[in-house]
Formats: sequence, C-alpha cells, structure tokens
Amino acid sequence: MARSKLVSLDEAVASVHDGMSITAGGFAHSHQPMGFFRALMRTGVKDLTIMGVAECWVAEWLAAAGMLRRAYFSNFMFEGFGRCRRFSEGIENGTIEAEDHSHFGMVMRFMAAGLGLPFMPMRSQAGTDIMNVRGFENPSDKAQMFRSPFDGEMLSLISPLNPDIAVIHAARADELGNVELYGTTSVIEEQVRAAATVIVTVEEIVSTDEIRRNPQATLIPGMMVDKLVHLPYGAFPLGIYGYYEYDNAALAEYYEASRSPKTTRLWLDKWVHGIKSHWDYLDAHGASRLLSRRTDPHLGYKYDIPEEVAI
Amino acid sequence: MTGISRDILMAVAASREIRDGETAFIGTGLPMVAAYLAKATHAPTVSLVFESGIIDPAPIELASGVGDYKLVYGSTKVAGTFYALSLLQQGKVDIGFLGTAEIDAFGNLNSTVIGDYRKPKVRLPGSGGANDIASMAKRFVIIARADRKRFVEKLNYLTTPGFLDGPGAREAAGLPGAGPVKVITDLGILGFDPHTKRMRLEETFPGIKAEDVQDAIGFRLEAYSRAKPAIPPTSVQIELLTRKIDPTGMYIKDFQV
Amino acid sequence: MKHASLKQAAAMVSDGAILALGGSETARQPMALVREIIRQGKKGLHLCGYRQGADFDMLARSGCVAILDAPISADPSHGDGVVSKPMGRTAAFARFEAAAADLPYVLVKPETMQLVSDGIVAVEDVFGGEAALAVRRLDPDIAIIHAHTADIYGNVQMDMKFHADFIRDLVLARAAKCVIVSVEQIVSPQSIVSAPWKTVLPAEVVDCVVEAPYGALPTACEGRYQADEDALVEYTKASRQALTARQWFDAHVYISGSHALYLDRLGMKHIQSLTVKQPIRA
Repeated sequence: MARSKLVSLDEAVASVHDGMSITAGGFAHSHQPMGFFRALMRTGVKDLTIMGVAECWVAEWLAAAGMLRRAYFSNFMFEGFGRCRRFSEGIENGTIEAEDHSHFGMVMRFMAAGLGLPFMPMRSQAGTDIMNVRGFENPSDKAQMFRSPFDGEMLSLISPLNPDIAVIHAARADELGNVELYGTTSVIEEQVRAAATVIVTVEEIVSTDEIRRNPQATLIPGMMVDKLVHLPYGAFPLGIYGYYEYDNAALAEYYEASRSPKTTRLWLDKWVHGIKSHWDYLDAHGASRLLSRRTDPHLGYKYDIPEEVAI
Repeated sequence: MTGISRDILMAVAASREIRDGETAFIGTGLPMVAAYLAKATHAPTVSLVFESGIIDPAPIELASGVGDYKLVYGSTKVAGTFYALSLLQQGKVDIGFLGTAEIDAFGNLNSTVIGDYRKPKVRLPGSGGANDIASMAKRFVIIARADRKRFVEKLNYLTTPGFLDGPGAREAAGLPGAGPVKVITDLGILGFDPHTKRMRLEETFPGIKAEDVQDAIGFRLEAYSRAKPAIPPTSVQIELLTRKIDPTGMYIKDFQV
Repeated sequence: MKHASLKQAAAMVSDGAILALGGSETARQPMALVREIIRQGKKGLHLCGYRQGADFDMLARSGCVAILDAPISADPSHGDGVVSKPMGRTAAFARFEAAAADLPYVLVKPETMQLVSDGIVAVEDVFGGEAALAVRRLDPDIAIIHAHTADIYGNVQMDMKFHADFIRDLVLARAAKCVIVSVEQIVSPQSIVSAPWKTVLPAEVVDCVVEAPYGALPTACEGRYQADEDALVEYTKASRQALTARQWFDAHVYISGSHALYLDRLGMKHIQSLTVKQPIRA
C-alpha cells in the first residue's frame, strides 16, 4: 500500500539545511512557492545556493534575508517593476556569487542531471562570456565546445546540476503525491527530475480517483515526490493559474521596500519575522483581499468588474 | 510627422520585420505590440512563441508580461520553458526580438553586468532567453533606443551573440542562426554590413539626419550609401496600436494625441 | 448592467416590504444579504418563505420583522411585535408557485400539519374526487437568493450537478416582483456564454446581482463549502436569551460592517477548512 506523502509545512521546511542547493518552480509573478520560502526565511537557515532559471521572487527574498551565498541562474528580474535589488546588490557587494547561464543552458543542466547523463549537447551560450568568463565555477567544468563525432558539427556540452532540494508549488495532488498543475509549467519537470529531494506544496488535496479521471493533467507522478504539503494560497502574493492572480499592491510594497537594506529589513520584520504562520500571513492581508484575486473560470485571469453600477 | 511617438515608430518598424507564415519568438514590451500589429495587418498567420511556454495565444487584453495569465487565453498549446526554447534549437523559429542594456558594433549584447563580472558596479538581470534567441533563431532583431551609453565600443560583458568578433565567428562557435539583421532605435533603423558584419544606418525616422544617429552611437557606424528615410507608419497601423492593441499605453508610452 | 454592491442591493429592500428568502434548510441561505439588511435597520418587514432556517431566525430576532410568514414555530423570544403565521411546508411553497404561474391560487393535497387559515381554504374537487386545499398566491416584493456565479448583466448560473437544489429558488424568482441574487463570484460574460446550460436565471428575471464569496456562511453552499456547524450551534444557544442574542448580533453582524470584514474576521484557515472544492479551470 503506497504511503501518504502529506506532511506539515514545518516538517517540509526542516528538510532544508545550511549550505544546501535548492531550486524552485515558477516564473515571473507566477506559481513560485512563496509560502514555503517565507517559512524557510523564519528558520535562519543560511549559505544556500540557488539553482534557478527565472524564479525571481524566491531568489530576491532569500537574498533579502541574507540566506543566499551562490546563484546558478539565467535571469532574475521583476516584470513590470524593475530589478531584483537585494539580489543584484548582493552580487555587487560580493556577498552573493553568480554563475550565469542562458535560460536554455540552465534547462539543459537540469535535463542532464535528470537523464543521468554527464552532459547535454546544446547550441546556445557558445562564443559568449557565459561560456568564457568564470563566476565561481571553472568554465571548463560548466561547459565545453565539442565537435560531434558523427558529422564534425560544433556543439557545446553543458554539465549537470543536481539540486539537493526542489520546491514546487502546484494546483492539486492526491496524498500519494500525484501533482496537477495548470497553465504554463516553467522548468518544473526538469527541476523535479534533477533534484535529490522533491517537496511540493499544493492548493488542494484531492482523491486519487480524481487524479485517475484525468491522468494527462498530472505533471509530476507520485513516485517523483518526497514530501507534500497542503498549502492553500501557497503562491501568494504571486499567482497560480486557475486559482488566483498575483497581488500587485503586495509586490509593489516589497519592490518599494527593497530600495534600501534598512527598508527591506522593516519589510522582513513586518511580513516574515513578525508573522508566526502561513495562516497568520494570509489573514494579515485579509481573506476578502485574497478572494478578490480569484481568476475567472473562463478567462483564466482576474475579471475586472466594470466600474459603472446601474442601480 | 516629427510629432509621431518614438514608441510607435519603433513598434511599426519591428512589426514590418515579421513575415506572414513565420514563427516569431516574442518577449515583453514593444515586441509584443509589434507582433500583434503584424498579426493584425500583413502577417495574419504568424505563429507566436513565448519563453513562458505559451504557443500562439489569442489574448483579448494586452498582457503585461510573457508570464501574464492574460497571455494564456486562446493559446493553442501551453507547455513549459523547455518546449518553447527547444523550438529555437530545432530551427523552427524564424525571428526573435531582443532589448538590451549595451550593444556593440557587431550586434553583440550585454544584459549581465556593468564593470567587472565578479564584483560588478551594476549587476543586470542576466541573459534569460536572449542568448538562446540570438544563437538559434534563424534571425533576430534588436530594439533599443540610441544612446552613447548603450551603443558602446566594447561591452562590459558579452551575454548574447551578434556577430561576435566579426565574419566567420558565429559559424566557428557553431551558432546555427544567421544573427542580427536589424537594430531598431528611436532615431532610425540600422542593419549590418554583409561583409564586415558591422552596424550601419539603413533608414532614418522623420526629422532625423544620418549625423544625428552617429552622434548617438558610441562607435563608428559602417558607411552605407543607400540609407534612406523609413516609410512612415500608416494611419491604420497607428490606429490599431493606440486604439485596439495598446489602448492604455502599457508599452506605447509616449504617444501624443 | 445589474451589478451592485452589497450595501446598494440591501438598500433596495424598503421598510415594510414583503421579503422572501431562497435556499434550503441547510444551504444557500442568503446570509451576507441578511446581515446587511439587519445592519441597515429595516423596519416592519413581512418576511416570507417556504422553510425554516437560521436566516429567518436571525431576521426575526433582529427587530426588522413585523410578520414572520414561514413554516416556523412561533417563539416568544422573537421579540415584540413579531406576528407569526405558521403553516405547513407544502402550502408555504405553493403560495409562490401560484404567484409564479400568475394564478390566484393553486391546489395542494391536505396534509396532517396543514392549518386552514386565511390564504388556505378547503375546496371540493370539481371532478368529484377528494377535497383539496386552495392556497392563495403570495407575491413577494423582493426575493433574495444565493447562487454560484453571475455576470454583470444578471445571468445567474449554478454548477450542473446542483441544478436540482435550485428548483425552489427558481419558483421564488418568478414569483417575486424584484429579484436580488448574491453569488460566490461575478464572472465574465464569456464565462456565462461558454456554458449556457448552467444558467438557472436569465438576466430578464434578475434585477440585481451582488458578489459575496462564501455569502451563505454559516450555511453551506453546494459544491463550494460545508456549513459551519459550530457557528450554527453557537447561534442557536446564544439566541435563546435576549442578552446573549444581543451579544451574538454585536459580535457577528454589527461589528463586521461589511461582508469583506466578516470574511477577514472568519480567517482563511477557518474558511479553507469549510471549503469543499475550489472551482478550477482544468
């Protein structure tokens, strides 16, 4: 009889130790596991390495909390706002080390790891400083040019990245850890395959029958999942497709606060350290505000009720 | 005519680069409105791909970014980042559009650092899909306002390949795409000399002289005798952009009525 | 367009109006609207319905009601000046069927608990069969109903699975002169149009729609959330005495000046614990 993967948020967060490498699912202002990371930020874990593609909010908040030592990544930027200031300034003042990639380069590193291969051949990144300039990794350990033995074509080979922990926020799962996600799936499939331990937080827990009724919606089968947490609004203040959009005011509040280390600390005190639990965080915004971010069942995004009210 | 918004000039110029029936890789900003303008005018069957994994969306409202849920609406396929980017490697993508912090005479781009890589003066966002698009799309177009701080002799860091260090360099690196074909600025449209692979002025926008463009560029532009004024945007294009595609001025910011 | 705020919708209920409530004994009682009606201090309402429920009870104790015209046992603690008109459930519902059909009365079979009173008269079968009861029509001035979704034009939908639960609300909507519907979510017109079979009330019969997520709490909403049994028990206990009832009203109706505040005070953990299934676009 397969066992339930369900654990509490605290138990899942306790999987992360000092010095570990983590990768998080999501993209732009969508489906990053912010509930998990807020809880992690309260534990004081440090010296983490992030292996990321574009999970800007995870990288930025870890940097803001002083927990990030290194980053393998492609692009961290707040669409519609501007740069990830704490992350960028961490690199500028030498407290965070960076190893750059293109999007596809990072995807290929996870894919190599996930396929159990020593490298993946690819065509981009070649000829540029991404391949030639050292971050904290020897360029030749990261990627090398290679002539195909079959036709002499020039390719690059990129080495694998194996995160200790992948943290994914998704839509629904059954207790066995079969996970459904709607909308775009970012780099989740590759991250899950590459990571040693996979933690998934989900909006809803459903029965296995529900999963079996629609198997093509299953993004991650249970055999790939180690720990599962039922965490409604676990992406908030970001969004998750099919449930809620991101809360622009909350994102803007962080973006403003990130202007200086001092105002960032005030923000952290208010929204992370001063709040004991995920539910307290949600209530600090208010249930009515969370519910106002719900997406329209047909449009897939929040429907703005037109201003004019007839009566 | 000199009152025409720079954003409109750039968006229209970008849309003209898209041919009907092509597959175009689109990023946030002016490329998005340019793509929808092309789709609404001369390129109705263009297939749009976004790095978020969205294929061929039919949004009814303009999306604020490539991850915006508005952009999922009406899409024919919704997948992951791998799916969208691997189309590039296979050679399925005809054209891509890129912005940039710095650009040199060979169309190489920097979006990584200003200053030393390991201890930069300014850390920029990083490559994202830019290096992939520039490496592997059949061709790509850069959209960037002309400025001596942007158009520089030497990049702080070479994030994204134009022609690298000159003729033959892309081929030697095994890059499959042909490289940059146009640089659309707010002053005019530049291209690349087919022999030297260096940037040259090809079209000027209304009220702009060739000297104005060179003054705003921090390196010597290759001479090109056939530079000419750009065809102005049509009233249909302006109407579509400002009334239908981007009525709230999300990307077309400097439109003056 | 028929979308209004909760305050505006409740303001449509005038003092002395004949007000009917939809829903069932356990589900989709239009509680958000009821709380707002109480907050607005309505007077002299003729409250009518086809069932009993916590919503009727709350209104009866709130000082808003002059006549309680539903199958509810009389209770002296309902407060001064509340006149009860008890009746059986069948006749109670038949009054609205008559109004919905625009008939002066409909016939029902006599039932053991049915009292003959004004508005209910024994009649002979014109074809010579068993005697029946004629139940005179009752036309509510306003009916308030809670449903799943609606667009701003007033098209109201329920998930297909729960259409059968909406049958009595349908009749009430046709009987009433003015229909106010609170819904879990106001959705886009495209959402309505993409699944027209879900529509239970077309815009033509709806006067006003209001967005009130979890607007039936503490009662259930089929397919959305369970009833808050603890809260209902708490109310029943508190309502037995005037002092505790007043404290309950202060704590649960008056202090939450809006539905948004009511939800905020319930808290997400509690709300999530009651939620059956979030509607998703799969």
